[in-house]
Amino acid sequence: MLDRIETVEPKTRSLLYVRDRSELLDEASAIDAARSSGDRVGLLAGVPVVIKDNIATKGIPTTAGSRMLARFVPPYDATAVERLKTAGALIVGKANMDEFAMGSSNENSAFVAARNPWDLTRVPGGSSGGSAAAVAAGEAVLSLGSDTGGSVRQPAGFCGVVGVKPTYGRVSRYGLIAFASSLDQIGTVSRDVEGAAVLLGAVAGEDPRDSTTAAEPVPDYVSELDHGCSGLTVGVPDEYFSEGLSPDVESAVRRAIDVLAEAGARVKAISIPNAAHGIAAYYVVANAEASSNLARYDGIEYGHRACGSRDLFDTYCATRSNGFGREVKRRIMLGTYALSAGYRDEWYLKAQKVRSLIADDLSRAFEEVDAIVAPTSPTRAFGVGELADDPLEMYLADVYTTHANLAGIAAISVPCDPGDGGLPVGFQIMVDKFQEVTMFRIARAHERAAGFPRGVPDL
Amino acid sequence: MSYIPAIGFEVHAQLATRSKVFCDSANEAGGEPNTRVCPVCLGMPGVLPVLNREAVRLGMRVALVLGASIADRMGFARKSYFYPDLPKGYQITQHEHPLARGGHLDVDVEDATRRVGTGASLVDMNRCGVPLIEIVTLPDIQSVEEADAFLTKLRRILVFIGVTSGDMHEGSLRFDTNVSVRSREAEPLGTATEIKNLNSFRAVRKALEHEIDRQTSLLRSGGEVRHETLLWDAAEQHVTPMRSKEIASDYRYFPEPDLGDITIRSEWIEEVRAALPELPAEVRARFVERYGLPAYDADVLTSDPDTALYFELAFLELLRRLVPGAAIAPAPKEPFDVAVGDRRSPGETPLPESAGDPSDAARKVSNWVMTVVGRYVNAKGIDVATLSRQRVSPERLAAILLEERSGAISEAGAKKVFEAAAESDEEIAFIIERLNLTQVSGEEDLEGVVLDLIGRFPEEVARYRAGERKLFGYLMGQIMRATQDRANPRVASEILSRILRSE
Repeated sequence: MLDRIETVEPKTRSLLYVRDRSELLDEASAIDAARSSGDRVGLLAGVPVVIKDNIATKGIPTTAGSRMLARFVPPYDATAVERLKTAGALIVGKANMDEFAMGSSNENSAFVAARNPWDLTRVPGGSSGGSAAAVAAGEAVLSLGSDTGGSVRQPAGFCGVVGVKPTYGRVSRYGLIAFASSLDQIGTVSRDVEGAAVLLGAVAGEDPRDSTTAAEPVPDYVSELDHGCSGLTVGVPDEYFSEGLSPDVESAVRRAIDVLAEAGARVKAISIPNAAHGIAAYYVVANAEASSNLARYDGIEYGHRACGSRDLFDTYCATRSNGFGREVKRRIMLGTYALSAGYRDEWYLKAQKVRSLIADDLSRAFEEVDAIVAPTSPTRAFGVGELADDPLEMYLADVYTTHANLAGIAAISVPCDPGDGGLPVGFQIMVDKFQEVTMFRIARAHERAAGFPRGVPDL
Repeated sequence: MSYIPAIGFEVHAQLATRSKVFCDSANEAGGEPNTRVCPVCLGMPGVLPVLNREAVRLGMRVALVLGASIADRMGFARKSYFYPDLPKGYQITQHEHPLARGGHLDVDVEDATRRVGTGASLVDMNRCGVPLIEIVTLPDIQSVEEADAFLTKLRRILVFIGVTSGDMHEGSLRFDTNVSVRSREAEPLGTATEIKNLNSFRAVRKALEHEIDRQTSLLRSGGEVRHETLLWDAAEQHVTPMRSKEIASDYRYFPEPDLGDITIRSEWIEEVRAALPELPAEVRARFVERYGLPAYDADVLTSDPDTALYFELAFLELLRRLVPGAAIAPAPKEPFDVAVGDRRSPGETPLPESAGDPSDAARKVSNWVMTVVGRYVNAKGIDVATLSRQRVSPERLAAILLEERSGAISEAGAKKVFEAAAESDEEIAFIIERLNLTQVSGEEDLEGVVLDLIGRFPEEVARYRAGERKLFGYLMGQIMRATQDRANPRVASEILSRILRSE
């Protein structure tokens, strides 16, 4: 796998940091030795995993894709990373991403934009573009990403891999560099549904260091994987198949729904009346929280600090002006505005109201159905540079994914048959809070019936 | 025409928790720079705050003693501004959903009682995670004297219930005040100004006097008070308006997503209520009513909980030894090692009848604690808890006083024993022996000393006999000096006056 990284990395640019080869080989042989001497090894013993670069890894640079943290080496592991290590996983390196997870194309990485392994002229999606590209290109078996508004699912869809956004509070956020704390959740990227189930099982669970984690016990996600989807009801919201959805994606997703129906699922039309307001509410809430979460990067305690400033205020300004990229600054300004006196009611508080309305819509839907199915994104992977100058259009890439974050529910994106043999299309399955077992069952039923995974790109 | 002030306070008290409010770094003043920090209080990327339950518990105590009602759900908000000691760029504070609302504190000034309405908005966070509680009052206070009495009483209560050390030098108590004046009580409140940065009672007094004068003369001369925020300059003894740059006008509050709402179960409230320690007023009342101390003594002794406890333990021990079989429980081991708010009062059970009138013993111990002990700890720069831990526990003090009371040593000798006991672990009896302090009370022994003295000071004796009575004290002093303070002064003075009269 290290050879594979060496070969394809110059093309995909999916990793920002690869650990020293001899160090990794030593760790791998230690695991082999333990296994052959009959010692118990973890569930992920020796499995190469890459970690999105906004998840803290002790002693390994963690930049969040930002110049601000270009030389930041955390003295602590994120809880999820700690749990991966306990399970025996090999941390191979750190995955490329949009700066501070703000972006849907990976083009906002302060260092280099990762490319889509299926077509190097296209984006891998974002913000966990590096995680998805690395797994798709065979540079890692599994990857951890983070999903604030679709940041795991959208790139997974673009790169033809499986991406999970777990229920809010399912995976500890301790060590995840915050973008929008009430929406952020560490998620998984894998080639197949079983990989997702194993990886989520390894990292999920309550953490005393994160007060927002749930006490809910973690079920065995793998044991019920093959129970099929017969008897389960999936809901198809009208609002998700409307204007803006590209016809090729729509037909691929409709076919995926047919696959589920043939596998025994009941299909039911449902409605999410407030769906259209999701994207606006999402960007207001996310940016408001981001403006606060990013206030700590002031050049005083750690990270980048601008030189030659006259006084403290000047240091703050210079550090933040040249340490952050354009998109990050745009969002800090939008978020600051949304929280400011006189605008707070109209923006932040209204967005929070919309958020509860959407959560209510989804709760009502889950009274009737076990899962909601939808496209992951309105289009397939777009070309590098295509939307780079149009932030609004770029924001619409998240139109189907933000609802899960706003409501705190779980969702998965799995590859579905594009029909034309072309670029991958993501099929999204959403379930109510802590219903990941059902989500995996449906995803697995689709995966088997549709014949995934389907090979790796030729690089 | 004189004006009536209306004064309100925001009192910030640092909570005496072992660890900081949102992480497990030590919550202590001092120490090497940057040693009591961790990734959480430094606000490093990716870390999360976890609320310290101890801070909530201490906040609940404040709410309970002020009679405020504790919210069953409370929440935190982020308050944004940039400041070098604020690593995250925001403070986690309570904004719309404080721990407690309502409540009051009665203050007695010049026989009148003023009820000051309070709200305990709670568990603030500042200075890299040091937990704070903010107690806000209504502008119910009507004079500088009342303000002083209110703060003194509040501070004493907060210290007694173990919420804060109350140490002003280390900034564990700070005050912001708002003040306005009006011509009559019936008038609506005038425009108030706020004064920030007050860190001593003296500063509060001075700033209020200054500001009330300023507003009064402004109104008298037909001017208007402008609503503004002022800073007290202790060096110049005046207030200066804060520059607009120093007033962050917009803190952009929003609910802290990393903590969520916190539910306070009523069982927890009852648990905290049941474990509330005694309030200073209760301790003071017992000292006066049960032990027969003068009000002044009781007041001084209850100025801090360590002194009160030290007095009470020493007193009870002395009584226990004086009245064997009175069934007074011995002092607990290392009483000062228990956190102030968690201590069990030694005076919980009433004194047994057989203990008789305790006021003599109480006054004796009280005098000693206020003078000898007080002077010693001041001179050494330690507190009574340290004194107790090091050498002179309340039991040892009681042992010294017992020796004095029995006549074995003189009062002056007892003071020497105390000094020596503070420097050595020896038994009290051994110290008395070593310093050769055993009091001479025998008539025969002392008569010899007095006769010898009269031989050595014939002139003074003659002058005394000629009517210069004040020389008696001088001659007594010579007796004490000759016996190195070992003479029993009562017996010696009887013999001296007998011999002086007899010839």
